[in-house]
Amino acid sequence: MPAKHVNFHLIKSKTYCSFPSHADANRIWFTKKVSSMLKDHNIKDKLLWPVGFLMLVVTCFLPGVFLIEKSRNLNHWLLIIGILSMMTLILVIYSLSRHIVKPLRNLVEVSTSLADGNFERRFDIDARDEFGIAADHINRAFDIVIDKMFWYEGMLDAIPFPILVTDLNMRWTFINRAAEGMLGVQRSAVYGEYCTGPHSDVWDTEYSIHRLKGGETSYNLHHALTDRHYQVDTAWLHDSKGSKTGHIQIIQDTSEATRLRQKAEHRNWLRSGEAELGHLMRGEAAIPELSKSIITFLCKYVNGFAGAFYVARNEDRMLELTASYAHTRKKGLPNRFAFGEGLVGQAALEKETILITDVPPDYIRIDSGLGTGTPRNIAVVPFLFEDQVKGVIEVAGFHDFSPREMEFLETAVRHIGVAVNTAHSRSQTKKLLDQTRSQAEKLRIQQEEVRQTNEELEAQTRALRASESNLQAQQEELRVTNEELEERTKALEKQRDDIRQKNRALKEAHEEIEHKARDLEIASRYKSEFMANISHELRTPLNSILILSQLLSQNKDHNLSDKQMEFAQTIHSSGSDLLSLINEILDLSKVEAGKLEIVLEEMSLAELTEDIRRTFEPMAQQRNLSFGIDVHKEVPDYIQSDGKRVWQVMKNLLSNAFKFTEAGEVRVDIQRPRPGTVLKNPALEPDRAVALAVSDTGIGIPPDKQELIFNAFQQADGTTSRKYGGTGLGLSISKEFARFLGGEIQVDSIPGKGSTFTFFLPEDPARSLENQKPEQSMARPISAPANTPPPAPNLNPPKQEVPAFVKDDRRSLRQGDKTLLIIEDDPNFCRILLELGRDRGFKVLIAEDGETGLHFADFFTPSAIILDIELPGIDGWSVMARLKENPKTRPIPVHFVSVSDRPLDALRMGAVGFLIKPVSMERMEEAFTRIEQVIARPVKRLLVVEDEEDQKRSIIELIGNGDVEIQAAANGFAAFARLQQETFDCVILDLGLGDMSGFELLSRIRKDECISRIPIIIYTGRDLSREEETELRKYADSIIIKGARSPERLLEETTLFLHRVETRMDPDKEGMSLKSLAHTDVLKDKTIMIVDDDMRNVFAIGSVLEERKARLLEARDGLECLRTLKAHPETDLVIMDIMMPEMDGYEAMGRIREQRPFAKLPIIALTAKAMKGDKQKCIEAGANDYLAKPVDVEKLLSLLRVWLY
Amino acid sequence: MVCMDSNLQESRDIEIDLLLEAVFRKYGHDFRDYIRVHIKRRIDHRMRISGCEHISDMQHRVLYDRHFFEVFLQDFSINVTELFRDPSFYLTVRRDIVPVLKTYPHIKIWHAGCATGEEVYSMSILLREEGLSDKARIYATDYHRAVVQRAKRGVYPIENMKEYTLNYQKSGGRHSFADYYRADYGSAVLDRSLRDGIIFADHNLVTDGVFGDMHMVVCRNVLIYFNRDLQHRVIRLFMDSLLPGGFLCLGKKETLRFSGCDHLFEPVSNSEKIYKKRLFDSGDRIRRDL
Repeated sequence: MPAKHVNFHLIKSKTYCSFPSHADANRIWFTKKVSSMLKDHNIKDKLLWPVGFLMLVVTCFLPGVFLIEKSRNLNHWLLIIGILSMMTLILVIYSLSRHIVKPLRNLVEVSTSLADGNFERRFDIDARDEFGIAADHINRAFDIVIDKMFWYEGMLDAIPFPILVTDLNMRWTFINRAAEGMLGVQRSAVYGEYCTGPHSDVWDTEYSIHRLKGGETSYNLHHALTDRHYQVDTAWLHDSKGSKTGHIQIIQDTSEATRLRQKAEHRNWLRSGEAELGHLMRGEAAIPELSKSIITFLCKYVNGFAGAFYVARNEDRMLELTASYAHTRKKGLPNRFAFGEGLVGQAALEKETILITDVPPDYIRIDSGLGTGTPRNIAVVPFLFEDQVKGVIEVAGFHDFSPREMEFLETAVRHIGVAVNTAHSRSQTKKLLDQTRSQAEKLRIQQEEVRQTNEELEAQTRALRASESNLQAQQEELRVTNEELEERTKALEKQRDDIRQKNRALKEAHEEIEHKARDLEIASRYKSEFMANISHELRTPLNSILILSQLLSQNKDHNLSDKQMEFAQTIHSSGSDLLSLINEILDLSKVEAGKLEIVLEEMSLAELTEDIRRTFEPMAQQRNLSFGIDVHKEVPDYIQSDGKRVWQVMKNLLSNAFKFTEAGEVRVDIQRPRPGTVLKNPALEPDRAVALAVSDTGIGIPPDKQELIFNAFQQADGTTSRKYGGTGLGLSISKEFARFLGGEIQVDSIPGKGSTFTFFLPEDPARSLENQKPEQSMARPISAPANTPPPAPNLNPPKQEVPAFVKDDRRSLRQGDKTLLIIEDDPNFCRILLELGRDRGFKVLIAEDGETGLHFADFFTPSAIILDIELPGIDGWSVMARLKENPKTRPIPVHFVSVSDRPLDALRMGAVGFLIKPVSMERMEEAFTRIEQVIARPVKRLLVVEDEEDQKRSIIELIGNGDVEIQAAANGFAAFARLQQETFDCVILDLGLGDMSGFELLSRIRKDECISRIPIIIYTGRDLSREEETELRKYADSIIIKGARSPERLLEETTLFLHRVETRMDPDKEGMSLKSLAHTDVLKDKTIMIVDDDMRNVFAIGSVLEERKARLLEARDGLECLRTLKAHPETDLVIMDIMMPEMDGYEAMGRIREQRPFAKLPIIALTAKAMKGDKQKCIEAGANDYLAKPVDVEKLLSLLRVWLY
Repeated sequence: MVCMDSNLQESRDIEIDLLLEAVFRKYGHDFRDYIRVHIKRRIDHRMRISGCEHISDMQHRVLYDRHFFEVFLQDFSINVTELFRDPSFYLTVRRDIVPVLKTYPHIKIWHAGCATGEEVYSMSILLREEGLSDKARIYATDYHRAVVQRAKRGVYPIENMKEYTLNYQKSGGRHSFADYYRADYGSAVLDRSLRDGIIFADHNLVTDGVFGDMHMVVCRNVLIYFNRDLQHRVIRLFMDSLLPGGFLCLGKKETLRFSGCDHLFEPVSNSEKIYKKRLFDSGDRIRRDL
């Protein structure tokens, strides 16, 4: 073993290693340590080295100084210096060996023995020099060091945990007492031994050093065998130069501390988990968010890789998945479990945690971007609140869940239970609150509505109240009026009584007169009849007498004497006289019997004068009387009269004149009546009458006889007849004729001087007669104009007594009057109707019961009937039925007025209208208007095209009444043929026909110019597609599908078309189409598409455009428009409705604009909307212009002209 | 004091006039002829919520804040409605009107003021059950665009369905009401196919015009918000939109009596306020008292 030197620095430097020991046992270790430190260093070298160095410095430095100063004698100096150096060197070496080497050797010896463990030995240098002092000091130092050494050793032994020191070769260099105890060895036995040995299983030093080499100086170790925890601190030991000399391990048994720490940690982990969870759940999150954050947190906290959160629903005990963590949803996996269903359900049912280990590989997969894996463990934990399962948590992990994690889960769920319950209640509360809030809002709105309604009602009430107060005022007024009326009534009643009395007297007188008149009439009639008969009886034999006497007088056989011939002539002339007498009698009786026929014609006055001249000129010559006829210029050439009768009168007057004139003259003057002439016949107007005056210079007529001469069989003097002959009938017949012709005869005579008979004739009797009194007209068949239809009825009413309550017009009826029969038992209402009827120019007849009504209707054939339903005796319905049974009364329009409420029945029976009592004045006026229109209108004709007999009959029954004539056709050809031959006002068409389809018939009808305008109603049992309807709409005015309520509609619509007054084309439209003819060229041959789902609109616009020769395309919505446009790219313009099904106008326009070819196609939008911005919206959508509905045709046309130009 | 009140009242009236005028001029919505008290209440309500102090403040906001205007507009749209609201109405339609509608090859029905669409769908269901759905087209309109959108969705809160089911049964429904909806997530979605025959659009009764010939116009509980003048105008609009013989259905509290148009219609059901347009309207045409 080499010599060992104690190095003080070493001791000093190692104090940091903290070897506080004074124990003896450590002395050896220390010695070894120190000696090993010194082993490598030669102390001699260390001491010699500074002396040598000093010498070298002196030798080098001094010559250097000289060298600088005396460089010129360099060689001399070098030599001297060399010698001096050598001498010095020798001196030094000697000194060294004497004073230094010897003590040093002692020093080494002592040191070495010290290093060998001999701590007792000290330097024994007693020299008084430095060495001696040094040796003393060193010895003292040794003492201190050794004391210190033992002190350190004792200290290390006092440390209660093991400290192990090894050298670099891993041999023990030191172990303290605790280490001895731990390893179970004596330190002296192991020093210098390799650190592994039998105690290695107690402590693995190699392992510690291995970790130290890896840089780990402090670590914890759990010794599995003993279940102890250690904290191991290791460090390198260095010598003073910093070289590693070994290792030290300080081992602390931390088992207890670790246990406590772990326990604390565990608790902390749980606590902080709970705290975090609690924090998490503190908010007011709803269940989904809450469960999401809980499951996320839980998974992270227990290192789960997937998790699911189920919440139990109270209502159906179902567990519903509310959140999941890293969970890839697989198809087919349920979102909810019933209690007891699956693990989740089972856990909930048992209220116990279920832990599954070794999950099958395909059970669940956890995916990430990097791969997938199957967790090994799944924990299913239910959470409760007040022993109620509130839900279940499912967590899956790749590791086995540690008890700590499981404990955490168990703890956590307690809080979760509370939290979920709270959240649940909160959401419940919130829901309730929301509900309450929304109910409150709703309530508020409803209140608003109620308030509104109330206000509306109030307003209505106010209006009612206003009308009520109005009514009160009216009532007041009525009351006053009534009172006034009552007063009047009283006065009237008094008058009435008076009148009644007078009437009674009058009636008696009247009856007497009537009785007499009747007697007279009978006598007169007998007379007339007798005369007529006798004249006939007389004429028959007279006929033979006249013919035979004439034959005799001709004496063809020449066997008669002149005397005999004269007799025969006398017989003939007497016979002729007799005949004319008989004729006159006959005429008179005819006149009196009212059977005279008068033919009005253009009568030439010139012809009359000519006839007069020709007849009477010879007579005047024969009697030597002068005869003159003078026609005044103011007299017209022709008058309206019966020439034959006028001639008869004139002949009569002239015959009389010649008869009673012996000498002088007879003359005729035809002139206007002289001014001042009084005409008795009011029909004669002086300036429209002609006076034919016959004057003579005969015997004259005394004034008292002038009236008499006009009576039949009377002459001025009864004796004259003998002298002048004549029947005496002439003047009376003439007078009657004159009266019939609307004129009269006046006589002006002075006896002895002559007479003038003037015959006044109206120029135009028809006109004059209109002004005559009705009584007179009754007897005058001539009054009617030439085109008068049927002969006047005998207007004597069948019942003579006038109804007591209302006086009607039956007595003043004239032929051609518009008559209205009112069958009504309420006299007041009758009076109203009567007045209304009269106002409208009706002659009104009133019947107070049904029988009378029917009787009157049959007798008078009135123009119209107003019929009440509630009548004494037979009711209105029966009256109506009877009226319609009788062909004569069937066409009379009947209007019902009743309190009854069955208008439809009435209409079915053929009534033209129905008013429900009480009625307003306006309604009454309307009813009369209706009646007038029905009267004014000829009977309407309706064609029913229907192949089924039953259907046909039911339609006829439904619609048929007095003013509609219904014809039926069973098939299309028949219908078409009838339409072409006859005129109809309306057609009802069934689509299903035997021979041709309804469509075909329709198109044929519309193509035929003559009948194309007839209104057509389609009445069909089949459902129609939209296309079919569109097609039909072009032709038909109305389409009715057969069904429960269709008869009603058919009746209504048919009535509408039959009775509507206006023409199909309104005049505006026609006027316009003429007006705009000049503009047709712009529209002509242009292709225009109408896009609208309202077919009527399409049809209306279409017809306007077609009139102007534009080509039309139609589309019903945006999609169809696009399709049509594709098929017809030549389209010039589109008229686009906005509101359409499928695709609206905005979208359609947008789509059109998207297509390049149509980017500039003019589009006019049609919309009902007039809001600000709507127009803008149309334009933005692509329209060029905009037109509001309903379409103003004029505006549309001008728009079209602008955009097509 | 009274004088002050009336003075204040007058100022408020002017403010309301100006506000309504502003809305009309800026947005085209015309509330000027709405019942005044109703308008006042709605404006007060909005003022309370929005914190505007004066009506004039609201006017400013309405003019410059489109969003505020939408809210304001929403206020005026009172959407109280139910599926098969007033079941007796639907019963009457089913019994008395549908047989007449069946006599037309195709029919058009206009639901004016359809709100959130409940009644439109009710009609659609009724028509389907009566076999008319292929023949019928329903136009559902409201002035409020957002409401029309909601109507189009046909999604209603599930809690009302019980009541609606009862309504449906009372209205003479022939099937199970559940056939027409699917309920989930707190809502009931009406069968999509019910929407097939319905055209939803926005249309303002006050400003917009006629848009087609209808066989039936349903406008229930809308007129009560209009003053008499506007009511007359709107009824005239319906009148012009109806074909002769077409039906007009009003709300239970509404009437044609004071509208000046009553002679153009005849009542079909007085209790349900269903009227029929006369075939012969007036004057030169002949009227029949059917």
